[in-house]
Amino acid sequence: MPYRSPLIALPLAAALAIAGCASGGSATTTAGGTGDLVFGFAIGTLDPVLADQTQNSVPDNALYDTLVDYTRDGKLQPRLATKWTVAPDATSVTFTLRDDVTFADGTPLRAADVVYTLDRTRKVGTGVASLINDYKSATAVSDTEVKIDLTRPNAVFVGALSKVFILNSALVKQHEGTDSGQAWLAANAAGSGAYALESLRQGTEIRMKLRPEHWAKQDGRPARIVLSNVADGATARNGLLAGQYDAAIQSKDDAATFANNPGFRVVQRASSAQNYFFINTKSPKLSDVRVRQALAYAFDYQGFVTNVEGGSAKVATGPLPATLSCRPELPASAQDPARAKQLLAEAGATGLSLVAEYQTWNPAHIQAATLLKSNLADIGVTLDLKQITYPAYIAQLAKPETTPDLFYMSDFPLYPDAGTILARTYTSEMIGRGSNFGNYGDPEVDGLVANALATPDEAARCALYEQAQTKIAAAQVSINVSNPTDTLVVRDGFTGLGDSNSHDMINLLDVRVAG
Amino acid sequence: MRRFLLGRTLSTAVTLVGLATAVFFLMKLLPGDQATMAAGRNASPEQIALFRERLGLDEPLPVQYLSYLGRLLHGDFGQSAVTLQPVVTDLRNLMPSTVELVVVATVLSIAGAVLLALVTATRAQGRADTALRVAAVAAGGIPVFWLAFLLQWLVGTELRWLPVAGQLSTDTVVPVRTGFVTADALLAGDPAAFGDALLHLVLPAIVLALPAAAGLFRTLRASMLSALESDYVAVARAKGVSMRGVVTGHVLRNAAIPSVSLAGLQIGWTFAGVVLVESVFGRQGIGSYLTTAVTQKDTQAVFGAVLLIGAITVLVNFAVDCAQLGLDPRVRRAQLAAA
Repeated sequence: MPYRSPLIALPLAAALAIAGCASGGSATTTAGGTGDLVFGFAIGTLDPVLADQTQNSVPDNALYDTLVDYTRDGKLQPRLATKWTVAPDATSVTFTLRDDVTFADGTPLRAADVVYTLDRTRKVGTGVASLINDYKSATAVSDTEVKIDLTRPNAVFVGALSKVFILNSALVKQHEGTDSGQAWLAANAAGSGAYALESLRQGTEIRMKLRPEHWAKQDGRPARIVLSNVADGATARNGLLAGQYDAAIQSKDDAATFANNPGFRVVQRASSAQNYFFINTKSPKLSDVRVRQALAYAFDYQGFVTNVEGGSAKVATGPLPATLSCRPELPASAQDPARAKQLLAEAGATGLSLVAEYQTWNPAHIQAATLLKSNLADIGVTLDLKQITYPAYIAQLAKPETTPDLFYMSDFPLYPDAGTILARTYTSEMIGRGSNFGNYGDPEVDGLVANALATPDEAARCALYEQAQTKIAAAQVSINVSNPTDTLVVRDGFTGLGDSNSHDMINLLDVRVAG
Repeated sequence: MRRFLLGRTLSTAVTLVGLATAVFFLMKLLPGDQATMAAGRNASPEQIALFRERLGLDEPLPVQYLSYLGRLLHGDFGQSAVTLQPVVTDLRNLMPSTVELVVVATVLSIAGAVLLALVTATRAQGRADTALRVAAVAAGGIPVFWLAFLLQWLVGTELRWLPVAGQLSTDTVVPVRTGFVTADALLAGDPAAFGDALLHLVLPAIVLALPAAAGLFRTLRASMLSALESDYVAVARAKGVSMRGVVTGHVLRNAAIPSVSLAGLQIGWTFAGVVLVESVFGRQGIGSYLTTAVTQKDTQAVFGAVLLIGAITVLVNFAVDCAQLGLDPRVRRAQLAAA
């Protein structure tokens, strides 16, 4: 029992003549293989179209299936699809589906459901729709075969489908209304996942129960998973200690509370994100690559990683997050003030005065900006710091002349393919569209990325990705700061949270109850 | 009287329109393209254009404003980018939970303040009075978030007397009917769930009630002390009315009048306070919705929630004005004379 109320519950029970009032505790688990997992977690909406947000994709991944999935080392693996074939010109892909999958209501999953899901995603037009921008149409060739046509060559389109959860089309059509079923799907599930939705209290709690008939049934999964709304780290810590939650995401400081607590495990895992100062390469003051390199040499990476990120983060080694594959061997970012001064002198950049913007919601962002200001002062560069919101920053990206000289941010791929970030952040066509943060454009890089996306052969594609990254690194589009770690605290008795083979740190399908 | 009510109703309506107008122009002044944010990261220009049309952002500003007011009149606050549901639907679903918390907190603060004022006013400058005055100053000055975490840690984690967060224990299921968890538990005929829901309300309600109770207590105590020195009290005492009879029969009612205004203001502040308390205690409601909306940059939801909280504050103040009219004959006479 997670909490007891000898002083309050018993008098209350007596006064109200209610029995069992004091017994209301969360059902934390226990050994035996069929317990419940109570996960302190930020609650989102259930509509899979918004699965680009972690708080939505975590429950969706348990309630729905996708065609494919990623392993921890970034390899695509089958899920609903048993196999897939990308056309030689990468303008279409054909999937063969499992024939033994049923939705939670017993309806068999068919190719028509895949077609419906893709069409609906495009129609709603937000969330994961941006991952399938190249989607043209889909055809159910048979009940177990679906062909997807693309508007242009895209060999990594299959990876995007790891975020597209397949809907029970018959069920959703009954609740389609005028909003493509958005209102209904926000609070209901129409999936074929390993768990079925038991109840939902908007913004507070999601309960899911195990489906014994699921096609990928595995022993040891919790019989029920409860996601309890926790937005605040201290609340999560107190809830864990009080026995109200079995697992929660924690900051490093909060997690330290559990370091010597035998009832918990602290799981740390490299985040898929990377921290950057993006440099406006189109700014007249920063158009010379030597100036940009000087800025990068000025920053105290090791000091930041040790003192701000608690030592668990790693100094970045290139323009893309370290968890991605297809990255070239590049040296870790390193501070060298003497080299920085030399480069500034060579570029003739004296009395340089710049502006860096940062967001205030994360204290680490404030500290990063402050540290850069101090480091740049050491090499004779004046840096003004300005606070800004992310929407305001995105608005500034509309034009290179309104983009700040530097902006500190974290960026991560929605699925683990280097091409997703390369195409979004480093190609000319994305300048002014809110995702090319450095206003960087190089026809050679554009060509390499376009070629890579049109190359079905994985090894050849990888080589092109690496060439593009080498050029981007040489152009110093950003100060590549660090690769942070995420931290989970898990009560003893559970495995597979944070330490499974899944690409996602939190994959509820991998959780097992010990015993 | 009718003229007074009409005047107050009109001024309330004007305030509400002013609030809606302020919210609209604040939305416009905020940096960042609403359509780009709604369409999401990586959205293509076509997707952004689609959202611009859907949100009516392709219309001239005056048209957008009039259309916005028209939609508000029809209860349309726009669509949340986080839940993809109409904001008004979200607010309707979440409102009962917030009202439940605010009502419990308000009852606790008023009952506590009245009780303590009764005790101390008749024993002014005594030890209990001094101690409670000091405590009231401290309670009024304690940061709410600090109090929340302190109680959560002490009562929830260390003593385990009450749950740390949430609205129901995870092994308790109550079908949602009204949205008021306690009422739903009773409707479900589940007294254990009702008790469980009440236990989950205690800590957040105390956190919300304490600063409000401190302010009310000090106002009420001062008013009672002043009233106790009035001639009518001396007359009543001379007639042999007991101190308890004087206080409960005469002093309290007269002393309550300034406190009613304060209580009205504090109900508004309590609705604002739930923004933090609901988030810290992991409770469903307008406050945690607003917090999520802010962190997720869900502009429509932010302004919908702000508008609702603002409207509640305005309406509560309207209700307080009316209540004062009933409670205080001096106010009534003044209004009638003005009419």
